[in-house]
Amino acid sequence: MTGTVLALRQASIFHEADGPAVLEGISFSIQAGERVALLGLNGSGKTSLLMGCVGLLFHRGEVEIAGIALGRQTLAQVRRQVGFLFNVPEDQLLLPRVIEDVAFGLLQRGLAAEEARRQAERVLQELGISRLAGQPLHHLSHGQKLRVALAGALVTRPQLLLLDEPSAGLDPPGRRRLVELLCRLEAGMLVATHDIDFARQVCRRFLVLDRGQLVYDGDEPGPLLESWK
Amino acid sequence: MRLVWHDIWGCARGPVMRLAPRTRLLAGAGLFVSCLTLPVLERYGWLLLVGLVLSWLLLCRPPARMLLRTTLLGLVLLLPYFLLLPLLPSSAGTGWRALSVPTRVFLHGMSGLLVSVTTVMALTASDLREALVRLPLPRLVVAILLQIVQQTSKLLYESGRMAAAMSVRGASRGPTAAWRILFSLPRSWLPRVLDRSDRVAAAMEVRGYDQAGVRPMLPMKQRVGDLLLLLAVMLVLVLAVYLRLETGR
Repeated sequence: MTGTVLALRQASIFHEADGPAVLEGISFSIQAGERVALLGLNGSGKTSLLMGCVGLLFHRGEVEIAGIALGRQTLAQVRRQVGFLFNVPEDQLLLPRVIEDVAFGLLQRGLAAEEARRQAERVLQELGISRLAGQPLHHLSHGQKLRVALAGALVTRPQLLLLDEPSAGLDPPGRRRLVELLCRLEAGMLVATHDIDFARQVCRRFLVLDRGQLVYDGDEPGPLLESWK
Repeated sequence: MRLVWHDIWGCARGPVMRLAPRTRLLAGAGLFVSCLTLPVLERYGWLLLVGLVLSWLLLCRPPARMLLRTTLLGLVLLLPYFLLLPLLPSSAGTGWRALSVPTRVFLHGMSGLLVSVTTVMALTASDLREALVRLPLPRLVVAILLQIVQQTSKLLYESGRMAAAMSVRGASRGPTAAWRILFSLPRSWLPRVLDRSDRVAAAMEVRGYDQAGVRPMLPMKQRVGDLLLLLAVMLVLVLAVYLRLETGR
């Protein structure tokens, strides 16, 4: 995978079409394989930015994913390039058993059931949760649900991963495994978090949002983050 | 293990569990319609009703505790109809004739409830998905039905947790606390449900749930047993319709 997987140019994000902007004049790009942390305090607009990137919120300006400009006509095409992890992983688990949910994205893309199951099992194995394959989703803990949701996002081998608070609610071993996993992945990713240690372990570049503005884009946000303490 | 309400799916252990999910769903639906069609106040109708309910229970073998709870629910829902007797117009008759109306409602209702809940117990949520996607139903209907089941399970689980949180945060145990929790649930529950439905809709959009419909994942295995059960159910259904037309009520 090469090239730019996500580019925003003077993008503004809105909750309502004619409402005030929650994010204004945002410009940055992410290259293939690049891992970028999106930092900010609660309410700074991290989740809104991620949602705006996949057309869940209104936008003005340019949003481009894997070379495809986000618009009404290209919405499905854009979303096919993205693996999205919501901040409440339970919300994105739509089928009753783990294996079915993970294979769902592949079946939607027209893969044969047997092949979809095989690939889903492989991803579950990569995430160290193959033993959960036959489990009903409501029997899982938060950490397990998070990994299943991540498996569902990864199984289609997306070019871009948008992860919203992926480390929230994980125990230390679970967090460590997640760091290892994310560092192994080849996809470009934008990780929204306010867990700075986690962000430093996974990412080399940091974007900082503050009150709807991008106030920092670089590799050492230290001084800025000091002001949060 | 303690059986919680959302574990009701697929908790039966009878021989019918070896049959294809589609067969179980169709058989349950056919028997349910038969229960509602049979003229339950006629001798043959009544006998056939009892026979079909017992046969379905034996074939599915649901857990006794779940069966008892379902029966109690049926009694709570349907017995009050007998309290309406004094309100019936005099043209409805007196004595047995007047009793026939709530009795019919009771028998249709109780048998329908037992058959439908037992069918649910004979299908896991995955079985339901496999069964629905193999039936000639509109894609959208299948997708919506599956999400209703899926999200209802989640909401029931969440409601349990909210009730536990409320009792920890002040309401003590006992019937008064239970009532207080029950009546305050909608106030705290509804905003959560609305919020969640927004988030789930967003996730469905992003995951492409709305685009191609849900597709089956398991190979379909049709056995002789599937065919026999479907034939038997069809026979019962035809018989029920015939008896209904014959007796004219």
